Amino acid sequence: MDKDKPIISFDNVFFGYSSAEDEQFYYAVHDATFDIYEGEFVAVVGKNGSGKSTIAKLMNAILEPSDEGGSVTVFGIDTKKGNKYEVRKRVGMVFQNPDNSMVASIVEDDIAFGPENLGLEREEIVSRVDNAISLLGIENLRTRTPHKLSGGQKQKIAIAGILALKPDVLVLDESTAMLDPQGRKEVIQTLIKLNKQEKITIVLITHFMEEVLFADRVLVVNQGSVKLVGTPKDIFLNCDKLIEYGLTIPRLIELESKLRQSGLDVTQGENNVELLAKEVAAVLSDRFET
Amino acid sequence: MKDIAFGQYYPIDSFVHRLDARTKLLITILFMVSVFFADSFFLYLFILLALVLMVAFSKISFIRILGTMKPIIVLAIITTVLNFFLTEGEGEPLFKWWIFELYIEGIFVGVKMLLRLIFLVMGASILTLTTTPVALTDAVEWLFYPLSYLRVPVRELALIMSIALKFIPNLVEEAQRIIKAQKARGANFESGGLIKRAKAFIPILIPLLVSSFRRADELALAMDARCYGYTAKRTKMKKLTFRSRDLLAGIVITLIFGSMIALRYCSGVIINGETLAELCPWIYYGSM
Repeated sequence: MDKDKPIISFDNVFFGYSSAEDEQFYYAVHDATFDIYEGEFVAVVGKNGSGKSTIAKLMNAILEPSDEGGSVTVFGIDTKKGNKYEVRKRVGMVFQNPDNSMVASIVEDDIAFGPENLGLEREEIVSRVDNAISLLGIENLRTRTPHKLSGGQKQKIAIAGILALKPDVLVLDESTAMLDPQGRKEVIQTLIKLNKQEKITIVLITHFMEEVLFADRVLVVNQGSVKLVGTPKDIFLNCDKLIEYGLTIPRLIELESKLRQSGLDVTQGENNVELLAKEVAAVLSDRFET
Repeated sequence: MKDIAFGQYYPIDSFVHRLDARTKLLITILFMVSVFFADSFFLYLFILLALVLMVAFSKISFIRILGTMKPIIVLAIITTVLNFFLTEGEGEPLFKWWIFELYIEGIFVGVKMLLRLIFLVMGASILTLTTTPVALTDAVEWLFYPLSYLRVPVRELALIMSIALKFIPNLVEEAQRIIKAQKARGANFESGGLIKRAKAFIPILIPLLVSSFRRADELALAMDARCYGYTAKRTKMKKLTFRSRDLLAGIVITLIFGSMIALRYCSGVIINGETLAELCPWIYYGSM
């Protein structure tokens, strides 16, 4: 992990649009400044309409900042001026609904779509498809039809389709939102593996606070700008702020926070039942002895 | 219901599955043309022979292929009945009631129409059951490639076709969901006259259209994110290649249909002083 080398930089970014309904001008992203470093696992959280999805789309040049609205630099390329395809090749994006991001009716054909677009040689396409399939452990789905698979399986195929482009960064725009708990778990585990083993930088956009705990760093977004940055533990020290930004606190973290407020010295930001139980037991036995 | 299989690929391994998609496409076109050439019952046997061969070598159960006929049963019955009673023949009608008159010619025309419909649908479904949509699209692209010299965007059209095929099951699912949602709100699709029933489908069609536009929008984004348009020279993972089995299948099918068409036009050939039609009238039985 190279902490000194930002690979994606947002520099006072504004992104606005005119609403068709009341002809007013709105900012979805309002003065956002932050960096993403190589090899990180970053979670971006925010409630619905906080602008987190727009931030994701700004990262791979699907959207670009408004005029005079700052700049987004990805691997040294300004997304407004540079070659958008070079950006998209390096920053892959996985969307919310896998059904709407697949083009082919056979899994392997769909995974091959990206490399085919790049105009690669056939042997290279085949090796990339093989590689993506084995990374995600979906060898058994290779010749299946996507629409008969589960949500988690479909989302894995969508991720494989992006991995076949060999990106350095994987941006997941609420890609777990439509999944059941099992599917969500599978996808998150896949992401952790890709981050640790393949050194792919992960940017996970989500509104599930449980998923934040797997990240190295968390960006809390509200009203289009980044309000809090830090490790999950740091973030959960500010439970009041999180609630103010419309986020829900995981049950256990909330409990920790309440215990601390009432004077019990437990570690904040550990979503671990056993650890918390041991700590509470230790504190109580201390009190009992004295 | 999700398995409404008209046009859905059935993934097993067989001789027909392994044929090049272009061969299968050409054979299917030849098959369909031949169906329209056949005009006597004996000549239909050639079509039947070709069909039986195709089914046998595709290892797909006959029942499954017959199942693809379901959506056109009503059409088939109406066509047959109309042909029965609307064809005027020479001589006495076999049956007469009110304004309906049934001639032997009517029966011939009706039965032949029915056979044609059955053969056409079955032939087409063998193609789609044994060929992946991607391969089929590639074959169509290959077939229409000459048009690209006239600036017809053949590649894009082929991609559009494959996306359309891919989204059929998604849209069927969506339509069923909307129907359930509208029923839950008291919509009634089962009673009333034809016009009332047709009107009842408007609350299904509009949400379906709206959601299709949304899907199209999302899909366009996803395709952008996967570098669609990066280079004008898109490559293909699966390349179609003609093999010896394609030649074999092509020759067999061409022989069958070739002899069928030849027979049809040889009715006037004179053998030993008699025409073929006089010598073997059974070949042309039912033709007009």
